[in-house]
Amino acid sequence: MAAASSACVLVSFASLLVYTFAIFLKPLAAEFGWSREAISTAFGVAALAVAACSPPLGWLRSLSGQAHHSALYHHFRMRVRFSLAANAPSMAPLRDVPDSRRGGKRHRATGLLASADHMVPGTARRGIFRLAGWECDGCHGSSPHRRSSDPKCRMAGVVRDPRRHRPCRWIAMRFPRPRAFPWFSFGGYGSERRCR
Amino acid sequence: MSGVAVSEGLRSRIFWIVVAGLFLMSISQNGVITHLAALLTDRGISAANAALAVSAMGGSILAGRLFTGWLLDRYFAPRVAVCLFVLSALGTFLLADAHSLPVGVGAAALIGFGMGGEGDVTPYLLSRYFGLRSFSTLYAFTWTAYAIAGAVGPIIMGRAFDATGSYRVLLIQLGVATLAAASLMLFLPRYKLAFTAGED
Repeated sequence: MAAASSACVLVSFASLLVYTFAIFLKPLAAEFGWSREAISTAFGVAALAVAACSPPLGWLRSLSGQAHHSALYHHFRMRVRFSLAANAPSMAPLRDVPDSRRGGKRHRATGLLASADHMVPGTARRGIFRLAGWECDGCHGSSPHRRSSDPKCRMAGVVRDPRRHRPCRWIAMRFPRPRAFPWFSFGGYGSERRCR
Repeated sequence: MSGVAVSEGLRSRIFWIVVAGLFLMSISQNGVITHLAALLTDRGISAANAALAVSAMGGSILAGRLFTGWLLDRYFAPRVAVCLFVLSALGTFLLADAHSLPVGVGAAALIGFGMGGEGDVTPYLLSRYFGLRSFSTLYAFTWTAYAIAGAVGPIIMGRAFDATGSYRVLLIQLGVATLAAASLMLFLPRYKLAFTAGED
Protein backbone atom coordinates (compact mmCIF):
# COMPACT_ATOMS: atom_id res chain seq x y z
CA MET A 1 0.00 0.00 0.00
CA ALA A 2 2.86 2.34 0.79
CA ALA A 3 4.33 1.62 -2.63
CA ALA A 4 0.98 2.25 -4.30
CA SER A 5 0.56 5.54 -2.44
CA SER A 6 4.06 6.61 -3.41
CA ALA A 7 3.41 5.79 -7.03
CA CYS A 8 0.24 7.85 -6.91
CA VAL A 9 1.94 10.79 -5.25
CA LEU A 10 4.62 10.64 -7.90
CA VAL A 11 2.16 11.62 -10.58
CA SER A 12 -0.05 13.81 -8.44
CA PHE A 13 -0.93 17.46 -8.52
CA ALA A 14 1.97 18.55 -6.34
CA SER A 15 4.75 16.97 -8.34
CA LEU A 16 3.31 17.56 -11.78
CA LEU A 17 2.01 21.07 -11.45
CA VAL A 18 3.61 22.72 -8.46
CA TYR A 19 7.20 21.62 -8.88
CA THR A 20 7.40 21.77 -12.64
CA PHE A 21 5.60 25.06 -13.05
CA ALA A 22 8.83 27.02 -12.64
CA ILE A 23 10.43 25.20 -15.55
CA PHE A 24 7.60 26.07 -17.91
CA LEU A 25 6.98 29.63 -16.82
CA LYS A 26 9.46 31.37 -19.08
CA PRO A 27 8.94 29.19 -22.18
CA LEU A 28 5.18 29.66 -21.84
CA ALA A 29 5.58 33.41 -21.54
CA ALA A 30 7.84 33.43 -24.59
CA GLU A 31 5.59 31.16 -26.64
CA PHE A 32 2.37 33.05 -26.08
CA GLY A 33 3.76 36.48 -25.45
CA TRP A 34 1.97 36.69 -22.11
CA SER A 35 3.27 38.47 -19.06
CA ARG A 36 4.64 36.43 -16.17
CA GLU A 37 1.80 37.64 -14.03
CA ALA A 38 -0.69 36.19 -16.52
CA ILE A 39 1.09 32.83 -16.56
CA SER A 40 1.28 32.83 -12.77
CA THR A 41 -2.44 33.40 -12.59
CA ALA A 42 -2.90 29.89 -13.98
CA PHE A 43 -1.05 28.58 -10.96
CA GLY A 44 -3.17 30.85 -8.81
CA VAL A 45 -6.35 29.31 -10.20
CA ALA A 46 -5.11 25.82 -9.38
CA ALA A 47 -4.15 26.95 -5.88
CA LEU A 48 -7.56 28.50 -5.35
CA ALA A 49 -9.16 25.21 -6.38
CA VAL A 50 -7.15 23.56 -3.62
CA ALA A 51 -8.28 26.28 -1.22
CA ALA A 52 -11.91 25.69 -2.14
CA CYS A 53 -11.73 21.89 -1.94
CA SER A 54 -9.86 21.61 1.34
CA PRO A 55 -12.56 22.51 3.89
CA PRO A 56 -15.27 20.20 2.49
CA LEU A 57 -12.74 17.44 2.10
CA GLY A 58 -11.51 17.92 5.65
CA TRP A 59 -15.05 17.92 6.93
CA LEU A 60 -15.90 14.74 5.04
CA ARG A 61 -12.76 13.17 6.35
CA SER A 62 -13.76 14.02 9.88
CA LEU A 63 -17.05 12.21 9.30
CA SER A 64 -15.62 9.23 7.52
CA GLY A 65 -12.75 8.87 9.93
CA GLN A 66 -9.95 6.43 10.17
CA ALA A 67 -11.66 3.28 9.13
CA HIS A 68 -12.44 4.39 5.63
CA HIS A 69 -9.42 6.49 5.29
CA SER A 70 -7.21 4.32 3.21
CA ALA A 71 -10.10 3.32 1.03
CA LEU A 72 -11.13 6.91 0.44
CA TYR A 73 -7.56 7.90 -0.08
CA HIS A 74 -7.17 5.48 -2.94
CA HIS A 75 -10.63 6.16 -4.09
CA PHE A 76 -9.69 9.78 -4.57
CA ARG A 77 -6.51 8.79 -6.24
CA MET A 78 -8.47 7.05 -8.91
CA ARG A 79 -10.78 9.97 -9.40
CA VAL A 80 -8.16 11.89 -11.29
CA ARG A 81 -10.79 13.47 -13.41
CA PHE A 82 -12.05 15.43 -10.43
CA SER A 83 -10.08 18.38 -9.26
CA LEU A 84 -10.93 17.20 -5.78
CA ALA A 85 -8.44 14.44 -6.32
CA ALA A 86 -5.71 17.00 -6.51
CA ASN A 87 -6.06 17.66 -2.86
CA ALA A 88 -5.85 14.12 -1.61
CA PRO A 89 -2.09 14.19 -0.97
CA SER A 90 -2.52 17.12 1.32
CA MET A 91 -4.67 15.00 3.54
CA ALA A 92 -2.11 12.25 3.86
CA PRO A 93 -1.16 13.12 7.44
CA LEU A 94 -4.74 12.40 8.47
CA ARG A 95 -3.94 8.74 8.15
CA ASP A 96 -2.73 8.94 11.71
CA VAL A 97 -5.99 10.15 13.14
CA PRO A 98 -7.84 7.41 14.93
CA ASP A 99 -11.59 7.65 14.94
CA SER A 100 -13.71 6.11 17.61
CA ARG A 101 -16.94 7.21 15.99
CA ARG A 102 -18.99 4.52 14.41
CA GLY A 103 -22.21 4.15 12.58
CA GLY A 104 -24.35 6.17 10.28
CA LYS A 105 -22.37 9.34 9.94
CA ARG A 106 -19.52 7.54 8.37
CA HIS A 107 -21.75 5.88 5.84
CA ARG A 108 -23.34 9.15 4.90
CA ALA A 109 -19.95 10.69 4.36
CA THR A 110 -18.86 7.75 2.31
CA GLY A 111 -22.07 7.92 0.39
CA LEU A 112 -21.53 11.58 -0.39
CA LEU A 113 -18.14 10.82 -1.77
CA ALA A 114 -19.32 7.79 -3.64
CA SER A 115 -22.16 9.73 -5.19
CA ALA A 116 -19.59 11.62 -7.22
CA ASP A 117 -18.75 8.28 -8.59
CA HIS A 118 -21.21 7.57 -11.33
CA MET A 119 -19.00 8.73 -14.12
CA VAL A 120 -16.86 5.62 -14.05
CA PRO A 121 -18.65 2.55 -15.39
CA GLY A 122 -19.18 -0.16 -12.83
CA THR A 123 -17.25 -2.77 -14.71
CA ALA A 124 -14.26 -0.50 -15.14
CA ARG A 125 -14.31 0.29 -11.48
CA ARG A 126 -14.58 -3.34 -10.61
CA GLY A 127 -11.59 -4.01 -12.82
CA ILE A 128 -9.62 -1.28 -11.10
CA PHE A 129 -10.47 -2.63 -7.68
CA ARG A 130 -9.46 -6.13 -8.72
CA LEU A 131 -6.24 -4.88 -10.23
CA ALA A 132 -5.46 -3.05 -7.04
CA GLY A 133 -6.00 -6.28 -5.14
CA TRP A 134 -9.19 -5.12 -3.49
CA GLU A 135 -11.12 -8.25 -4.16
CA CYS A 136 -14.54 -7.94 -2.74
CA ASP A 137 -17.02 -10.49 -1.53
CA GLY A 138 -20.49 -10.33 -2.82
CA CYS A 139 -19.96 -8.50 -6.05
CA HIS A 140 -19.52 -11.61 -8.11
CA GLY A 141 -23.03 -12.90 -7.81
CA SER A 142 -26.03 -11.27 -9.36
CA SER A 143 -28.47 -11.37 -6.48
CA PRO A 144 -29.38 -7.91 -5.28
CA HIS A 145 -28.14 -7.03 -1.86
CA ARG A 146 -30.84 -6.06 0.50
CA ARG A 147 -30.80 -3.71 3.33
CA SER A 148 -29.85 -5.50 6.46
CA SER A 149 -31.99 -5.19 9.53
CA ASP A 150 -29.22 -6.28 11.83
CA PRO A 151 -28.19 -3.15 13.76
CA LYS A 152 -24.70 -4.52 14.15
CA CYS A 153 -24.28 -4.77 10.43
CA ARG A 154 -22.20 -1.98 9.11
CA MET A 155 -24.19 -1.91 5.93
CA ALA A 156 -27.39 -1.46 7.89
CA GLY A 157 -27.76 2.21 7.13
CA VAL A 158 -26.96 1.93 3.49
CA VAL A 159 -29.89 1.96 1.16
CA ARG A 160 -29.25 0.33 -2.14
CA ASP A 161 -31.50 0.26 -5.09
CA PRO A 162 -31.55 -3.35 -6.27
CA ARG A 163 -32.30 -2.29 -9.83
CA ARG A 164 -29.11 -0.39 -10.30
CA HIS A 165 -27.12 -1.34 -7.28
CA ARG A 166 -23.38 -1.27 -7.37
CA PRO A 167 -22.44 -3.43 -4.47
CA CYS A 168 -18.85 -3.49 -5.54
CA ARG A 169 -18.41 0.14 -4.75
CA TRP A 170 -19.60 -0.19 -1.23
CA ILE A 171 -17.84 -3.37 -0.46
CA ALA A 172 -14.56 -2.43 -2.01
CA MET A 173 -14.49 0.67 0.09
CA ARG A 174 -14.32 -1.55 3.10
CA PHE A 175 -10.86 -2.92 2.99
CA PRO A 176 -9.54 -6.05 4.51
CA ARG A 177 -8.27 -4.94 7.85
CA PRO A 178 -4.59 -4.03 7.77
CA ARG A 179 -2.91 -5.92 10.55
CA ALA A 180 -0.86 -2.96 11.60
CA PHE A 181 -3.90 -1.07 12.80
CA PRO A 182 -5.68 -3.05 15.47
CA TRP A 183 -8.20 -0.27 16.07
CA PHE A 184 -9.77 -1.05 12.73
CA SER A 185 -12.53 -2.92 14.38
CA PHE A 186 -15.09 -2.66 11.69
CA GLY A 187 -15.61 -6.29 11.04
CA GLY A 188 -13.06 -6.67 8.35
CA TYR A 189 -13.31 -8.80 5.35
CA GLY A 190 -16.40 -10.85 4.88
CA SER A 191 -18.51 -9.32 7.60
CA GLU A 192 -21.03 -8.22 5.03
CA ARG A 193 -21.63 -11.82 4.16
CA ARG A 194 -22.47 -12.66 7.73
CA CYS A 195 -25.11 -10.04 8.15
CA ARG A 196 -26.96 -10.64 4.95
CA MET B 1 -11.10 10.99 21.09
CA SER B 2 -10.20 14.20 22.83
CA GLY B 3 -9.99 17.63 21.35
CA VAL B 4 -11.92 20.81 20.74
CA ALA B 5 -14.91 21.39 18.46
CA VAL B 6 -14.34 23.07 15.11
CA SER B 7 -16.01 26.29 16.20
CA GLU B 8 -13.90 26.42 19.33
CA GLY B 9 -10.76 25.88 17.29
CA LEU B 10 -11.73 28.61 14.84
CA ARG B 11 -12.26 31.06 17.70
CA SER B 12 -8.89 30.30 19.18
CA ARG B 13 -6.09 32.81 18.93
CA ILE B 14 -3.59 29.97 18.56
CA PHE B 15 -5.29 28.74 15.42
CA TRP B 16 -5.09 32.12 13.76
CA ILE B 17 -1.45 32.54 14.72
CA VAL B 18 -0.69 29.24 13.02
CA VAL B 19 -2.78 30.22 9.99
CA ALA B 20 -1.21 33.69 9.72
CA GLY B 21 2.30 32.26 9.96
CA LEU B 22 1.52 29.68 7.35
CA PHE B 23 -0.04 32.28 5.10
CA LEU B 24 2.97 34.62 5.19
CA MET B 25 5.34 31.71 4.70
CA SER B 26 3.34 30.28 1.84
CA ILE B 27 3.35 33.53 -0.15
CA SER B 28 7.11 33.54 -0.42
CA GLN B 29 7.45 29.77 -0.80
CA ASN B 30 4.98 29.45 -3.62
CA GLY B 31 6.21 32.63 -5.23
CA VAL B 32 9.72 31.26 -5.22
CA ILE B 33 8.81 27.76 -6.28
CA THR B 34 6.95 28.96 -9.36
CA HIS B 35 9.48 31.60 -10.40
CA LEU B 36 12.73 29.95 -9.34
CA ALA B 37 13.78 28.71 -12.77
CA ALA B 38 12.79 31.96 -14.47
CA LEU B 39 14.66 33.98 -11.86
CA LEU B 40 17.85 31.98 -12.25
CA THR B 41 17.78 31.91 -16.05
CA ASP B 42 17.20 35.68 -16.04
CA ARG B 43 20.50 35.96 -14.21
CA GLY B 44 22.45 34.02 -16.78
CA ILE B 45 22.19 30.51 -15.36
CA SER B 46 21.41 27.86 -17.97
CA ALA B 47 17.99 26.28 -18.08
CA ALA B 48 19.42 22.87 -17.18
CA ASN B 49 21.14 24.28 -14.10
CA ALA B 50 18.00 26.15 -13.13
CA ALA B 51 16.13 22.84 -13.30
CA LEU B 52 18.84 21.41 -11.08
CA ALA B 53 18.10 24.11 -8.52
CA VAL B 54 14.41 23.21 -8.66
CA SER B 55 15.35 19.57 -8.08
CA ALA B 56 17.59 20.60 -5.19
CA MET B 57 14.58 22.28 -3.69
CA GLY B 58 12.61 19.07 -4.06
CA GLY B 59 15.39 17.10 -2.38
CA SER B 60 15.65 19.54 0.48
CA ILE B 61 11.88 19.45 1.00
CA LEU B 62 12.27 15.71 1.51
CA ALA B 63 15.18 16.22 3.87
CA GLY B 64 13.32 18.99 5.69
CA ARG B 65 10.32 16.78 6.27
CA LEU B 66 12.34 13.93 7.71
CA PHE B 67 14.63 16.07 9.83
CA THR B 68 11.76 18.15 11.16
CA GLY B 69 9.93 15.01 12.21
CA TRP B 70 13.00 14.06 14.17
CA LEU B 71 13.21 17.52 15.72
CA LEU B 72 9.53 17.53 16.65
CA ASP B 73 10.05 14.40 18.68
CA ARG B 74 12.70 16.19 20.69
CA TYR B 75 11.92 19.90 20.86
CA PHE B 76 8.99 22.23 21.39
CA ALA B 77 7.28 22.54 18.00
CA PRO B 78 6.84 26.36 17.87
CA ARG B 79 10.60 26.78 18.41
CA VAL B 80 11.26 24.29 15.62
CA ALA B 81 8.89 26.32 13.46
CA VAL B 82 10.79 29.53 14.26
CA CYS B 83 14.05 27.94 13.12
CA LEU B 84 12.50 26.62 9.93
CA PHE B 85 10.92 29.94 9.06
CA VAL B 86 14.17 31.76 9.71
CA LEU B 87 16.01 29.30 7.45
CA SER B 88 13.42 29.89 4.79
CA ALA B 89 13.74 33.66 5.16
CA LEU B 90 17.52 33.37 4.85
CA GLY B 91 17.03 31.41 1.66
CA THR B 92 14.73 34.09 0.32
CA PHE B 93 17.25 36.86 1.09
CA LEU B 94 19.98 34.79 -0.50
CA LEU B 95 17.91 34.23 -3.60
CA ALA B 96 17.24 37.94 -3.97
CA ASP B 97 20.90 38.39 -4.81
CA ALA B 98 21.74 34.99 -6.28
CA HIS B 99 23.78 35.36 -9.44
CA SER B 100 25.54 32.02 -9.54
CA LEU B 101 24.43 28.42 -9.53
CA PRO B 102 25.80 27.44 -6.08
CA VAL B 103 24.10 30.41 -4.42
CA GLY B 104 20.89 29.67 -6.30
CA VAL B 105 20.96 26.01 -5.31
CA GLY B 106 21.80 26.89 -1.72
CA ALA B 107 18.97 29.38 -1.51
CA ALA B 108 16.54 26.93 -3.09
CA ALA B 109 17.67 24.24 -0.65
CA LEU B 110 17.15 26.52 2.36
CA ILE B 111 13.69 27.54 1.20
CA GLY B 112 12.81 23.94 0.41
CA PHE B 113 14.02 22.79 3.82
CA GLY B 114 11.79 25.30 5.54
CA MET B 115 8.94 24.38 3.26
CA GLY B 116 9.17 20.66 3.91
CA GLY B 117 9.54 21.19 7.63
CA GLU B 118 6.60 23.50 7.86
CA GLY B 119 4.46 20.80 6.25
CA ASP B 120 5.27 18.67 9.30
CA VAL B 121 4.93 21.40 11.87
CA THR B 122 1.43 22.61 11.01
CA PRO B 123 -0.46 19.34 11.55
CA TYR B 124 1.69 18.62 14.59
CA LEU B 125 0.84 21.98 16.16
CA LEU B 126 -2.85 21.52 15.41
CA SER B 127 -2.92 18.08 16.99
CA ARG B 128 -1.11 19.36 20.10
CA TYR B 129 -3.26 22.43 20.63
CA PHE B 130 -6.64 21.19 19.49
CA GLY B 131 -6.54 17.43 19.87
CA LEU B 132 -7.77 15.07 17.22
CA ARG B 133 -11.50 15.55 17.41
CA SER B 134 -11.72 18.28 14.76
CA PHE B 135 -8.26 17.80 13.40
CA SER B 136 -9.12 17.11 9.79
CA THR B 137 -11.43 20.10 9.46
CA LEU B 138 -9.04 22.51 11.15
CA TYR B 139 -6.14 21.17 9.12
CA ALA B 140 -8.18 21.65 5.98
CA PHE B 141 -8.70 25.30 6.90
CA THR B 142 -4.98 25.80 7.27
CA TRP B 143 -4.65 24.29 3.80
CA THR B 144 -7.10 26.83 2.50
CA ALA B 145 -4.95 29.62 3.91
CA TYR B 146 -1.85 28.00 2.49
CA ALA B 147 -3.44 27.64 -0.93
CA ILE B 148 -4.79 31.18 -1.04
CA ALA B 149 -1.31 32.43 -0.25
CA GLY B 150 -0.08 29.96 -2.85
CA ALA B 151 -2.24 31.77 -5.38
CA VAL B 152 -1.16 35.22 -4.20
CA GLY B 153 2.59 34.54 -4.10
CA PRO B 154 3.18 33.58 -7.74
CA ILE B 155 0.91 36.33 -9.01
CA ILE B 156 2.63 39.11 -7.08
CA MET B 157 5.99 37.71 -8.12
CA GLY B 158 4.89 37.81 -11.74
CA ARG B 159 3.53 41.30 -11.31
CA ALA B 160 6.73 42.50 -9.65
CA PHE B 161 8.78 41.14 -12.52
CA ASP B 162 6.51 42.64 -15.16
CA ALA B 163 6.69 46.00 -13.42
CA THR B 164 10.36 46.21 -12.48
CA GLY B 165 12.09 43.55 -14.56
CA SER B 166 13.51 41.96 -11.43
CA TYR B 167 12.36 39.92 -8.46
CA ARG B 168 14.89 41.38 -6.09
CA VAL B 169 12.89 43.96 -4.16
CA LEU B 170 9.86 41.74 -3.75
CA LEU B 171 12.00 38.80 -2.61
CA ILE B 172 13.50 40.96 0.13
CA GLN B 173 10.02 42.01 1.20
CA LEU B 174 8.88 38.39 1.18
CA GLY B 175 11.91 37.46 3.28
CA VAL B 176 10.85 40.06 5.81
CA ALA B 177 7.32 38.64 5.74
CA THR B 178 8.74 35.19 6.45
CA LEU B 179 10.67 36.60 9.39
CA ALA B 180 7.41 38.10 10.61
CA ALA B 181 5.87 34.63 10.34
CA ALA B 182 8.78 33.28 12.41
CA SER B 183 8.18 35.88 15.10
CA LEU B 184 4.48 35.00 15.15
CA MET B 185 5.45 31.48 16.16
CA LEU B 186 7.04 32.91 19.29
CA PHE B 187 3.58 33.84 20.50
CA LEU B 188 2.42 30.25 20.62
CA PRO B 189 1.86 29.07 24.19
CA ARG B 190 2.56 25.73 25.79
CA TYR B 191 0.51 22.75 24.68
CA LYS B 192 -2.77 22.12 26.36
CA LEU B 193 -1.90 19.23 28.60
CA ALA B 194 -5.36 17.71 28.59
CA PHE B 195 -5.00 16.72 24.96
CA THR B 196 -1.41 15.63 24.93
CA ALA B 197 -1.95 13.45 27.96
CA GLY B 198 -4.91 11.80 26.28
CA GLU B 199 -2.90 10.80 23.25
CA ASP B 200 0.12 9.37 24.95
